[in-house]
Amino acid sequence: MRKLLPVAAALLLAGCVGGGANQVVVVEERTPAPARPAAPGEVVTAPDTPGVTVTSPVIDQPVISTTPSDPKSSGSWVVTQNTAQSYRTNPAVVALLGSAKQQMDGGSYRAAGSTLERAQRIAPREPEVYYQMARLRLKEGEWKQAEQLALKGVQVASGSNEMQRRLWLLIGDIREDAGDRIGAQRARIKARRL
Amino acid sequence: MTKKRASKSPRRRSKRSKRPSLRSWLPGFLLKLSLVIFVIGGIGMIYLDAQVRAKFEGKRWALPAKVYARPLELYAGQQLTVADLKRELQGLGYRAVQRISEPGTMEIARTRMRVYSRGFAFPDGDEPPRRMLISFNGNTVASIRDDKGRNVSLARMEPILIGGIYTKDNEDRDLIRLDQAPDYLAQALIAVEDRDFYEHAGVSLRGIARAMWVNLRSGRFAQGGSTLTQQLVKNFYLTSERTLARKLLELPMAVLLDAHYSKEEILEAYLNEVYLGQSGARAIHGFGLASQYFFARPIQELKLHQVALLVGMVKGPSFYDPRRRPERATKRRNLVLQLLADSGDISEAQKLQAQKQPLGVVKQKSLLKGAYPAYLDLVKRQLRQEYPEQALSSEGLRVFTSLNPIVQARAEQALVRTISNLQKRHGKRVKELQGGMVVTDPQTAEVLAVVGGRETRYQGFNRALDARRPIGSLVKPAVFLAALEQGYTLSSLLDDAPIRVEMSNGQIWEPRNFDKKSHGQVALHRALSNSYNLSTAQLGMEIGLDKVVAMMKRLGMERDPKPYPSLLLGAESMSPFEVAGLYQTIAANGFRMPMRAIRLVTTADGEELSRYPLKVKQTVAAPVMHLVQYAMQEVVREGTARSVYQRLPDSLNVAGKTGTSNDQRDSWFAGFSGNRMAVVWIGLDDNGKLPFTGSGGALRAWTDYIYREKPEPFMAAYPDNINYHWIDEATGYRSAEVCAGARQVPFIKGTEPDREIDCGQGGSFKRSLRWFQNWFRQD
Repeated sequence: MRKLLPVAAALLLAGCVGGGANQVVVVEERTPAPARPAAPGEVVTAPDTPGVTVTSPVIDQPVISTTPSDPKSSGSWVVTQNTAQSYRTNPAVVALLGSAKQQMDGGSYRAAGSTLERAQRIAPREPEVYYQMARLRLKEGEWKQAEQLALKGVQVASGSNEMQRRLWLLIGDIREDAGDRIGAQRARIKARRL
Repeated sequence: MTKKRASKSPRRRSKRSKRPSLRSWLPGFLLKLSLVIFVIGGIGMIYLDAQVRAKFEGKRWALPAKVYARPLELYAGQQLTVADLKRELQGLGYRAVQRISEPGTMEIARTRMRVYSRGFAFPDGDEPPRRMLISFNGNTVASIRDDKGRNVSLARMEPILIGGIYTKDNEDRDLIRLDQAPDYLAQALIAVEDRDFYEHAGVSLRGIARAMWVNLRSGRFAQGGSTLTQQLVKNFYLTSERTLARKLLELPMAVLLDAHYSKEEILEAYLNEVYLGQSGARAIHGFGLASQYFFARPIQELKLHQVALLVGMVKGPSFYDPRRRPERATKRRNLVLQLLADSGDISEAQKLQAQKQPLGVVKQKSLLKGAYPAYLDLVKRQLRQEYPEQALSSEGLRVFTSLNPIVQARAEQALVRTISNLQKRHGKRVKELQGGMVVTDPQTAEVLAVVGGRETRYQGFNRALDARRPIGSLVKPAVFLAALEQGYTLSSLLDDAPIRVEMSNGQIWEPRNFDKKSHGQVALHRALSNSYNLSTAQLGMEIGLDKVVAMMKRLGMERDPKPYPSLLLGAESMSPFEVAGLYQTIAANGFRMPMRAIRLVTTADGEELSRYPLKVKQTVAAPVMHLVQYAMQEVVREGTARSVYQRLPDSLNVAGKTGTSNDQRDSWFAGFSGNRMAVVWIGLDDNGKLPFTGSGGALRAWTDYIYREKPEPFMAAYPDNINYHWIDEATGYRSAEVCAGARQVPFIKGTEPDREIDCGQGGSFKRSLRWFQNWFRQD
């Protein structure tokens, strides 16, 4: 846990990079599964993660393994600590999302599509990428794809209520546009619950 | 008309008296003959002229479609080693130098590389040439700075050209403009082939005379008599036949060509037309392509000695082949340099310096064009569904693919090495052992690599696409997914007991377990991880074949599998590529995405023709997928594929499934990490029996590939309505952490078992199942 604090601090500082202004997102942490046996019927809740709370970018948090990491086994496999990186703070993704937005607003949908796919290849777990992809499809009137991309975004945003809320609101807009008013309401209710 | 009548009268008269009539007939005849010749000749010239112009101005060359690999994106934080980048740049023909000074050069240090990129006109924007200092930290790029020390957030290298789509005569060329030609190319051509090029009118008598004189003096055939224009005409218009008539047409056509077009236009056409070598069936035409073929770099970057070599080869590409005849080629090159010095185009010092250089020709094997026949095969099949053959082979289309040469190289090494190790171990029985492999990125569904067989450069049977083999237990995740959707849980107990099914045609289907035993009551997750056939068959018959068929189709199977009971154990034959489609959906948490090999097709000028954007459709709910992913993790941690962790580090979470077909004729493994999904098939083309199973064969290749790739670990999403509970494996009841035989198992909310066992809570040992603790993400 002590290892997490500096990371969290750095992320807090970097929190405002990229994305919309009101993106409050949550650090995801892959902790070990609940360590206590759950009583029947009890809903297992996530352990508290002091010091890492709400306002930092989405990140694949380094795994805190329950055993001391064995340098022999990890060796050159930088999987437990270092490869887990924040894509939102990755300037490459920030730059690509920025130019995609510009291209989209300027009406160059094809170029925006290419740019967003570049971003997706670099940061396939960044929900913002799917948010923008869905927005692009919505603009192009491809509602089915727009909704599916947003749903994919919801899945990768697992752990970030704020991002999921934005995505459900977008799904609401998409369904509204497609003429599905009941579906739109349902999506908006989902967004409100988050 | 009058003439005609007149010409007839002498003939009539000739019947009466022959002699005088002949005398009077002859001059008239000659006059008429010359008139006819004149008219025919005139018509002929007009015809020739039209032909010359039409061909020169119309489409001059059939330009094969160019197929590119994915461009390498460079950014800080990216997983990439110095060796990877070096390999990529070598594939692009970059030269390692002491100090980067021009595009296409690199400086390599242990943890840093300096690169002067060439830039590339991508359809979505130009990437400028630039100098970059790339610093590495272990397996990742630490930083990229430009020549002013500023951070570069993202740079795109130019894509490696991996192949073309050729016409029937296999002509290949890279068009260049005259202004792209390197220094001395035009001068050398003129000095060697046609010294009066700028003076003559297409044909040069002086040239012929001088050539004879030079040849006589030097005692060998150093110069040819025909002008560049004549040579162009010969190659350009008169290629197919070499009859005398055609030979006679050469002179007038050369004159016509010269009359109509500027010397520059003719020279440019010559640069692109000339034949310079042969690569298998592919004919290398033009200096642009020859530069790539012999030096693996764009023509603009050629140095004097390289230019001289190519010019020297015009005379006899096979006679002076620098790969097969290096001495001959060197002599010829040095002669060209001498002629350049004689004509004053280069100084004596330049000549001596260039003559000292080695030929500098790259090994043919190092060229990446043509190195990926299996992948190219996939690309071509897709293109042919949408474009006419003629457009593909002659319009110069540009095709941007997802092929990742670094991934491809690792996949090839893993498969080839595993096959050869298996051959060493099992000897003669597997002399003809073969394999096929497909690698995708599960997040984008892009196809990164395709290996079609043991000889990866051989353009033959593409096993990755065409070897349709029974998939064996690879089908089981589909069976279990269908069952989990019907309300089964991972801890549901299944009866691993003998089963007999009488089919509609009267045949009896009576499967057996691999160890030929029954295992009694087994938990569902265990049945999958240990790949028990009896319990799977029982389960499948219970839920119904239609559900399994429907699940296979939802996962991405495009054909209708045959709904026989044997389907449950993988009697359906599929290619590795088809299997990849199914496992792709599992790896992507239930989102089906059509696999894509092509990103974009554009015209030669970069205008977009078709694109293949990401398409997603959720076909299986995330919680259900989560359960099967759990069981597939168990396969590699505790089940039939546990040998994986003899090589992979504990921290690298992967999931997958082994497969072995009936009678052990096919060895399969399909599995994924966070950013790679790979399917491997190993077997014999004649469908013979193998002395090993899925885990003894294909799994080894898969593990070797993942070991080389060092991918991101698989981390499952943690869907909202999934809870983990401690379960007593033997009974399927709720248990507690401290109880023997208890393990944590995920459940969809509301499906967890009601009953609980009490183990007394004292001193029992705890089962260590660390593997999945760092697997899922939890908030």
